[in-house]
Amino acid sequence: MLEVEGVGKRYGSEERAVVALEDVSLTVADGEFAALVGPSGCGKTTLLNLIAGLDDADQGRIVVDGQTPAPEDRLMRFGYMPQQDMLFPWRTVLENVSLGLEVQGVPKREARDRAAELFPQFGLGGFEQRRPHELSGGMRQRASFLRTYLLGRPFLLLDEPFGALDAITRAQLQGWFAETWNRIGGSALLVTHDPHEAVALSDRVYVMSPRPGRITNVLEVDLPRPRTARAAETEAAHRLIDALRHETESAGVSA
Amino acid sequence: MNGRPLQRELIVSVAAPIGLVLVVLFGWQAYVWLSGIRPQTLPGPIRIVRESVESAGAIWEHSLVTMSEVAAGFAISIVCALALGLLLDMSATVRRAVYPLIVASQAVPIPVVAPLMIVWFGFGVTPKIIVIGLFTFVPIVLGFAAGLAATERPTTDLMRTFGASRWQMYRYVKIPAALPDLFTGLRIAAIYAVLGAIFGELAGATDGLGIFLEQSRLSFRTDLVFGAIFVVTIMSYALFLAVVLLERRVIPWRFQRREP
Repeated sequence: MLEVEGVGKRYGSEERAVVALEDVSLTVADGEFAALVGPSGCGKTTLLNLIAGLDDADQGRIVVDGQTPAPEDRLMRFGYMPQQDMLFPWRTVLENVSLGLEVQGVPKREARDRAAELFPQFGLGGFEQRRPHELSGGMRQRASFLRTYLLGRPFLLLDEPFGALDAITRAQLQGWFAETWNRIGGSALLVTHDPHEAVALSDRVYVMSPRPGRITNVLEVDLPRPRTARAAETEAAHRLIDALRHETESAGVSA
Repeated sequence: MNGRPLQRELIVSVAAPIGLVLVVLFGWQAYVWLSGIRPQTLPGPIRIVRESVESAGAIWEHSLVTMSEVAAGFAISIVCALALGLLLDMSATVRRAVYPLIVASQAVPIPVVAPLMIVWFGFGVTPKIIVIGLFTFVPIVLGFAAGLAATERPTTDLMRTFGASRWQMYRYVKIPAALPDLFTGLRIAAIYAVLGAIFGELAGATDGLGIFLEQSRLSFRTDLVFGAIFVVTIMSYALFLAVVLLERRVIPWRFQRREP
């Protein structure tokens, strides 16, 4: 369980400080999929980095399973998937995917075997020995997701995982992701600027407004689980998406 | 990769410079014949080749000396440059302290300092290695350090969430990412390495192409001076090519297309 309590973050010197986040609170229960939606520049990524332990908050507390670990102790508690795929050109796709395990000390051979086993499930079968530049954008994101998933951490932090893709690939990947999630389960916090994506994938949506970044609303997404690739095509889903779109637009305007 | 553009590229990249050289040599020989200029002043290409082949044995002996100096000097320079490059990247204090010195070292008039090296270190191979180092060290250090510094925050962030240690950060990301910039520095250094050996020999030595050059000049054998210069050029070019070939082996991913 993740509890963010009154977290604030500023950048820059005293008098010229930019307030990136102000009094942000949210909760993600075990097994819950939460989304954080807001316009670009509202501090979503900043918040995700604070939770991941990549940066230190100026105010508030980040509670994980009842404890308040220091940032460096949070680094390995979450499965963190960055916005860019970060696949390195000097490694094959398989070597990229198993990198996280190797860094954690899993023997190279074992790490690669464990990664290779999941390639078909992630739609990457046959591409083990290719280089990242030979993969399509959607495949690169799937490889990046597999690299994060392989770490076996029960709570995932996803930073706009579909943000860099074209609309068609993005819709396909969202559908694939929804169905994959049914199988793998776990808890997640997804950062996105796309209301459709948030509703399709999550159980609860936090709406953020920019400058300073703060939570302006919370929406429960009571769509049935397991979700299908078309979960967001129903009447109920459309009402939620419209409400959310309205929320994020007014959040953006008020800034 | 498909063969045809590569083949074409190869033909152009070999034929173009050879063609240009042939045109220049022809013009040169024509001028020497037509003007009747003395060979001590300007020998023609034909005479240069003939006389150089005549002295091939001596040129070869001296070349071996120079080549071994270059091999030792370049190797030591690379090792030191890699170590300092890593240090520069790891410590801001070292960076602030050493960077100005590195830049200043390039302003040292090496031909003037080289004779002092002979006074300090004698006629052996040491002063040659140091002069080669002065010529080659800086491009390698600067290339490598720039490459190491180029790894950006999102990448290091991802590695931190894997729990990467400082050493792992270098091993898995920073060093491989720095290789293209390192090789840029190595290519520049390779061009200057042989020149460094020649300067070192000119300051004081008993053997080497620099000595052969100097002796030929002093005895008005201008044809042999040109012959030796030609050998120096070939040596530099061979070292440069060796670095380029090594680069293609070590970082093949650099030469693949970015997008499918």
